[in-house]
Amino acid sequence: MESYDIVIVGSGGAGLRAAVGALQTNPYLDIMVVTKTMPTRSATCMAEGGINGVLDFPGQQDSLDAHSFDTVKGSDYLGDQDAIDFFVQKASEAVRETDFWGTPYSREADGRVACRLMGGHKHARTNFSADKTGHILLHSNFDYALKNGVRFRVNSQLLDVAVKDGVCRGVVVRDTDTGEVTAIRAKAVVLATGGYTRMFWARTSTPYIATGDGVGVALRAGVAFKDPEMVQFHPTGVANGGVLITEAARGEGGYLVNNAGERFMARYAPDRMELAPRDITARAIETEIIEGRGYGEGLGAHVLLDLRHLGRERILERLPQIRHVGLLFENLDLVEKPIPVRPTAHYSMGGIDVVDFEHMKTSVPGLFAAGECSCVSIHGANRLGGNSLADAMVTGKQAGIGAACHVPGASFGGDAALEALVSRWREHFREATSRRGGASVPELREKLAAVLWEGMGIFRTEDKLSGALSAVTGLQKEFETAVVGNDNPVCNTAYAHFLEVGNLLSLARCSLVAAKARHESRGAHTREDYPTRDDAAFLKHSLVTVQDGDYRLDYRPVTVTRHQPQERKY
Amino acid sequence: MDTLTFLIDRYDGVNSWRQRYEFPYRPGMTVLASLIHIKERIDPTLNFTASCRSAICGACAVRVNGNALLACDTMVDDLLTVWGEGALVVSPLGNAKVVSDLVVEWSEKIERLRLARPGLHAKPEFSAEKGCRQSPKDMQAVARQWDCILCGSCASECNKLTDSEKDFLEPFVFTHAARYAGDSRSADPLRHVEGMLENGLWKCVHCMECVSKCPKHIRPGEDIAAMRHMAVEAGHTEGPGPRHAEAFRTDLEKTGRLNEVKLVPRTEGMFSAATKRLPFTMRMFAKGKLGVLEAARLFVADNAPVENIDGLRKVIAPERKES
Repeated sequence: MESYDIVIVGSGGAGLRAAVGALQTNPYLDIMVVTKTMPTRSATCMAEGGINGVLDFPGQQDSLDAHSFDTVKGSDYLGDQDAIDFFVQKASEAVRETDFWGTPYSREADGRVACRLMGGHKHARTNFSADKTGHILLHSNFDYALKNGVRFRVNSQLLDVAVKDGVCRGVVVRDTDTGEVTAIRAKAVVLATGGYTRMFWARTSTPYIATGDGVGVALRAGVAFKDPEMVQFHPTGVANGGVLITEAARGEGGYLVNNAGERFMARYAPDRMELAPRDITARAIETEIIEGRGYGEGLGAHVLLDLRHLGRERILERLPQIRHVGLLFENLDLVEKPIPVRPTAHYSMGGIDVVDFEHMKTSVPGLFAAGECSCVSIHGANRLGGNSLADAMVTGKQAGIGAACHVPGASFGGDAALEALVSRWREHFREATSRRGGASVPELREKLAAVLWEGMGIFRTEDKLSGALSAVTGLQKEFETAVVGNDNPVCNTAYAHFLEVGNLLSLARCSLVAAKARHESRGAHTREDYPTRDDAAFLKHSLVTVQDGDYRLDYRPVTVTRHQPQERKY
Repeated sequence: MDTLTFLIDRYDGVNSWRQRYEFPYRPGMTVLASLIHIKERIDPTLNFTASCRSAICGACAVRVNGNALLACDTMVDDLLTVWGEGALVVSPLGNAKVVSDLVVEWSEKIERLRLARPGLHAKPEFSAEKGCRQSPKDMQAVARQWDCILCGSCASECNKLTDSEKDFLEPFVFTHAARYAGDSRSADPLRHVEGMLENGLWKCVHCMECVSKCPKHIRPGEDIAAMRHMAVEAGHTEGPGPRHAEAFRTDLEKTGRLNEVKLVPRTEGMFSAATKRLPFTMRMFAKGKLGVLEAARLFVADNAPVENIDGLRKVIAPERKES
């Protein structure tokens, strides 16, 4: 049986950083990165604005404490304050470390890493490389992983984590190229599989592959899905399809305007204007649309983002990538015209329940999680711009260290459990691909997206959530007889997608269970029927587990250390 | 026009065939949107890869009518303008092993990337604790090379790779080496150049397919030229490649005209030229492609200098001085 000390699943920023982190802890470890695509195709490459980290340049007003407080406040107090203090310290280190490895950051005239102001931050601390920081950071991490001899098992889709006697024993993967289902023994497994926002398929900024595979697999292994209802809607997706226009466009000075030509943010966040946090700005745009001050109708409704006053030169230098997106999706040059925008599902604050943020441990010994698929929680109910790349770097590294430290005390085992899973998945392929006459997978996926956009979108109510919950339960039922349409084992991408949609359905149901029970408005979770935050009842994380088809909801208190919750105003 | 036609080169692991798909035309649709339409509405067995749909992840490069492009970044309308309203032939990238349909193998390409020795070896004044300093201008010097999204388009129509990939690499590997070789933070830029020197740096045939196909406007051919320059400056002047370049420059300085008869012995040495190239030369004589007298004259003397040779020498002089 294929065996490694550590298996890392996922090859985005967090997975690559975990691999290097583990090897830096112990270069003699036998490590394999298992990934369902070629390593650099992940969501990390789409991050544009930058990576947060306070660098200690003399004379600046910023501090780690200030970054920490902004993150706590941005999270609407659902972030764990001890974890956030740890995170901001490590984020600062991550920027200098990646600079040293070769990440080409944009520079100030004196040679310092350049930074910009992003929404919800009191100071400019978002370090960047033009408007393609994620791409640059992902590729420099990939290069650094190559330099460190990290190996990759590409086109291998994660099917399950094997847990025997309460301990993680390895993973079962399917080689998409050949169709072979294989068990891989491991003393430690790091899940770094990315977010689950693809549940909003038709209106999300994330790549097609962000289907929450790791979260789905962890749920089946008995690990809780923490704060699943916390999905960030980024205020500015292009109206046509939801690809992102980076917050840096507003960081550089862009205006949001309604159909009266008014900079409407003056009414929602008079001090911060366009640079209010994402949840507030997204609600402001939707409110303008609902109250008739947007352009267009239905799914095509939008407001405008105007960058023209920045001038051609600044746009070309600082925002070349989004200019390209404007040309591609709206056939318009934002040097000359304002671009239609609307909120789009963007980031999963929730994820695999992490119980030890220093080593990114889950409740199952030997199983670790990092990046967007994990939930410490650092971002609570709303993530600040620039904190996601920092999260990928920090939690990736810590998970790598955690796994490396776990290996010496662990041994291989659980072969029977691994083999049983292999048999089950081989049989699953045969059964699923021989079905005839059921619903098609893309059809179910589109229905899921529509149900969630209507029922668990930016403004939520008890009625909408209940309706969505029963609709998703129905879709799960339909999924049991859904057809794949291809029974060739070789490179069956239709079956791969079938598995992804299966995970998305169960993750959507978890999200709805938690959203329905959270009778308050906090961060990205806005309940029209409970418009205020309720710290007495809900200063706690939702924890959803699934057993025998039963979705169970528990809670765990948020860690509050220095900052007592106060009203969140910008 | 109501209907679009794609002819897609299919491969299911055993059989290869070309399949015809017809589907409704929509203005403004991309090649990727068309492929997704086919897979989800017509034929779920069609395989291709895609991820970000905004030209930054590199997953969806394919060939249309023999030319590599990013499916998500290419409007069907633009292709129709170029190729007319007939069927478009969609095939997998060239110079790549096909897994199925439009899906190509990447594992071996990842291994070849390691030959560029990627990753920065920063100068001793920098540290992981404090990071580096770099001027905006120095950062810009490698910014273009960092735009590489590893889509594989540059390799697809590379004439040298098509001829043989045993002694050459995908152009993006050279670009990877160049971005570290050209980084002002690097303590050891040559480390990356030398990695390339051992793997075909002088084998590029300057067809510039890599430059014309890169969707991010990177110029791997120029990265190769820049690293050749660095290699020669660092004293790597042995081998046919550097000698060939030097022979070109000498001719330009002397007369402004290439003496092709002398070029071969100067590049390869007299022995190799006499034994390996003579039969070819004889065939050229026989076919009247080269006059015997003309060849003899050029073998002992040079061309007469071109008009205004001084002007030409002035253009070349600074180049010589720099190196």
